[in-house]
Amino acid sequence: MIYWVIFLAWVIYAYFIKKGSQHHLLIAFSLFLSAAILKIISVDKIAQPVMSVSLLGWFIGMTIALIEYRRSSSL
Amino acid sequence: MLKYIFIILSIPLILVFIWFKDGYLLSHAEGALPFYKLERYLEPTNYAWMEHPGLGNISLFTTAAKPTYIFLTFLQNLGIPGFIIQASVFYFLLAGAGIGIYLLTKEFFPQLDNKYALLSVFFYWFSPLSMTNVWNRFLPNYIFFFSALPMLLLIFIKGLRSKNYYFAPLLTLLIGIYSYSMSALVFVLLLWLLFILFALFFFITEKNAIERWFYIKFVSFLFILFTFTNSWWITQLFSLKFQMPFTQTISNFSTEGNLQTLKELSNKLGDLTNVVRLISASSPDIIGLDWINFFNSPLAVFFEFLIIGTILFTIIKNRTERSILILGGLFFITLFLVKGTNTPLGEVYALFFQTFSSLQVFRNPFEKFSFILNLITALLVGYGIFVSSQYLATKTKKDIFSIIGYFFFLCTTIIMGYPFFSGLVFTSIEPPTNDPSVGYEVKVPDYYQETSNFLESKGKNFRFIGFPLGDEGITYKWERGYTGVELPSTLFSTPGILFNTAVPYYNDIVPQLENLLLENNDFLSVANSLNIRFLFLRTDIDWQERNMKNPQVILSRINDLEKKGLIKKVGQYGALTLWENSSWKDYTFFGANKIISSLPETTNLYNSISDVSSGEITLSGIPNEITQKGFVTKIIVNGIQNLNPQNLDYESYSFNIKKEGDYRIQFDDLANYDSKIVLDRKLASIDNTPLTTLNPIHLREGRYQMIVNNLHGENTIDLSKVFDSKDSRGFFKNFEINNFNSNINHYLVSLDYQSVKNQKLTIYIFQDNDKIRNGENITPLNLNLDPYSKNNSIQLNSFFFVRPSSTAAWVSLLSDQPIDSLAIKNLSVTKLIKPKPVFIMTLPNQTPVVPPTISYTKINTTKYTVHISNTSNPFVLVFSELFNNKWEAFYGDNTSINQHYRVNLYANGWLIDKTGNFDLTIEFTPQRLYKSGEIVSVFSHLLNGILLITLIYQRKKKVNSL
Repeated sequence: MIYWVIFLAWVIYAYFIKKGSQHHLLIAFSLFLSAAILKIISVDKIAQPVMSVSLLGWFIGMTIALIEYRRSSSL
Repeated sequence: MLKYIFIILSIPLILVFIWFKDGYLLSHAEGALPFYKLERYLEPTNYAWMEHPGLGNISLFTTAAKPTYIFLTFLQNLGIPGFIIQASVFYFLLAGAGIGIYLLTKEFFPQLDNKYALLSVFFYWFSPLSMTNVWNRFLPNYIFFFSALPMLLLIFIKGLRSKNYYFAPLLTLLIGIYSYSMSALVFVLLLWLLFILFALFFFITEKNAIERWFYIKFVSFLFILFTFTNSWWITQLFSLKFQMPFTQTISNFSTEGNLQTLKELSNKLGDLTNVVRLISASSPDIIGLDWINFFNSPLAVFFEFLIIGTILFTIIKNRTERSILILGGLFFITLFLVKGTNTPLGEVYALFFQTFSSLQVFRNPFEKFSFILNLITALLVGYGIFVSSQYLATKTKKDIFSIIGYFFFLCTTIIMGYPFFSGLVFTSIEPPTNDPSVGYEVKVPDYYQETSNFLESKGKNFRFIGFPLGDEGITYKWERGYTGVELPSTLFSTPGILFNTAVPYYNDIVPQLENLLLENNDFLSVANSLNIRFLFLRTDIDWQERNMKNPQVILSRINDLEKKGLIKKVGQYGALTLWENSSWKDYTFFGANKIISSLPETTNLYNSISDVSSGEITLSGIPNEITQKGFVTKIIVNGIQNLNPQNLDYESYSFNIKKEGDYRIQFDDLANYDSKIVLDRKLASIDNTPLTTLNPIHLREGRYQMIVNNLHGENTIDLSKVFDSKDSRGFFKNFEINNFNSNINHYLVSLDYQSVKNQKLTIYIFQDNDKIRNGENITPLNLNLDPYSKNNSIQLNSFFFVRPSSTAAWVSLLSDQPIDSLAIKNLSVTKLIKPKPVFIMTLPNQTPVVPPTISYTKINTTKYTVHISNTSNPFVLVFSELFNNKWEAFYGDNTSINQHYRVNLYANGWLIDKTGNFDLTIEFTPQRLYKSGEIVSVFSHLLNGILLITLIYQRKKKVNSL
């Protein structure tokens, strides 16, 4: 349930902040790197949720990137 | 480019040389051993019905493999050894996958340097997913699908990009070549999911409406071509819907159960920190050898994250490129699917899984979707490393392109490729494959061919049964041993019962046969009803590894039967000894007019033994037309256990009497049984009076309740038979259980124990067929002791269940110190006997009827002509093949016989109400659909070829005219 809340919050954030896809993708990438480091040092219990939130970020970022692509190609 | 193609063609050559240099076949798990005798795998693909396993079964999806088996059998018939054919197939599949990935990478990223495209190829071949889910798993259809995906996707993408319809017929032709991979529904769904997802992303990223419309038309056109050209196996899927045993099975297919499996597997395998690295969390459990742990070492984890990190970096940096948007989008969607119901948002997966029943084939999402994940990742890897290294070079102003590129090359080929080049990829935790010098190498001893030849020389109108009889898995202790699914159809051309599997009705009977042989003198009556002519015993299996029965115990029983003249030894071939059932005659078809009616339906063989030699059969229920003919000679009413089956003191059954009369009480497990029973609230017998000697009880129609006391046997522990042992767990004191009988599987163990010096006690039950690894019993029953009381004493009173296949057992007390210092009192093990009574009514003798004379001609496995002569009365024609409502009987004028029953628990029976001399046709009618589908497929492929040539010609003409 917590991931639905995070997802919804991120979608609302993306909608109102109006930042480009790069912004969201970079956040997701940072979360990925954090999760990777945690995994390497065997802090699995935190690594997994961080990676899950990262995946939500990638979805949102990629969706915005697709919208941007369509907008740019229709110009 | 040619240089790289040459490399892609050379590496598989080196690999197959390493894998097959010793001249052995490779085989493991469910992949069976097709390359041993390919013709035995071709045969079932010709028909909608196959004679294996044992009693027959529908062929279903195996028919999709027919073109492959036709070609490979042709090669084997030319005299080419199986291992060379297998090596050639593997070469073709590896090289095909490599070429496909290379061209596909170049299709998406035309400007990419060739050596980075080659990196994608290496990654696809050697990634951890490829290693565990494809090559270590070693299922032929998995390997075919792994190879087919890149090439099929390449043609599909080319079709979308070039907007040329001729790629659709080209693609369907290619699918025909890889049709083996369609022999699992899940791969058909995966292929179309991949096509639809790519088409969807092309659609979304395309601004031109005409082009978007083309995508829809192209996918639709492809779907139509696919349906027609593959109709030979698609028709089998549709016919399944109308086949009764299987519709029952499907309806019993519990969504809840599958959802539970899905959640468990998602939980185990769907951790994103593993999935994103393409690592299977279960690989250490499956492979078990030390080398696999390397992939989870910090250095390897860092390297695996580094690869994915470069891909993610590239997705961010080049997100304005269409190819990156499409592949990146698919990468995340696939990640989402692979993790199943795991976080985040796993509820979406569960919702689809529950809503669409066909998606339940994805109950192991990691195993299935990882094919797509591996493909998409491989396509992005080469480009990702190229972009990242270029970025670094620009930032550092140093040309470190090649250094980083070659670093990844080396890492990919040396580290990830090492299990492939060393052959370690073909090892697993199970013996003999846990020995790296053996791995998956298999050599079938020659005596199997000799045995098969012997059986073949005796005709094709019987079955054999092999002991010990286990479940699907088997371990053979050959020179180059085998562990995997049992191989009856590979080793023998004659149908036989050698294992139990989830085929309706078959799996009701087979688990009972071995104990029936050991316990019941009527085993050969059952053997006759199964048309079993030969019995064999094999001593070349690792029976403990598979928890099977000790062959020596079976041998002893077989020797008894031989002494009684019931069976006759007919041959010894290596580790196989054969006996012939002396009372056998061809029971493929026979007439019956004595019916034992069983109410309600039972799967208990003990209650369903009929003497087929006298025209007696069993039937569930009492159909009116059968009663009217006066065929019923005995009615057996089985009790339904309806009250607290866990009760240790008594059993409560309810019986529904449908026909008034005098009934005897009989127990299925013991001939004479002394106990107190209460029937219909009245005491029906008293202690010490054998119930089977009681006078019959008159019962009117209605429902009755019966309560039977359970029996607690005497202490089976003989303190004179105690022995000590020791292993890495500590010191054992072992007490043998006397008069052990696995048919009575409830045992009660009791003891009083007081700990001296805080010594910890563990109690195990060891059975003679426990799994032994490195001299240590690894599958004992562990009896949990209640928590110790304050004075460190316990009183144990615990039940345990033994395996039906074990023949000896002992209670073992384990302590970390020598056991003599333990204070143990009153150790006892007693049997708990739970009786299962039945009511039997014998009906007055009917006028004896002479059974008809029956002969038959087998046209093929799906069609027989039965010649009936001199019949003056109605009878039931029995066909000793697994019941299926699509086995149909027709009179000469093509009139169908509607009275079709399941008899003898598994076989087909038709009520024949015609006299004189006449012929019947018995046919498995889905074969007609299969043949029609085959014709449609052949013509569609021809038309497809013509269409392809026409489209290519038109295109050339158009190009020339420009």
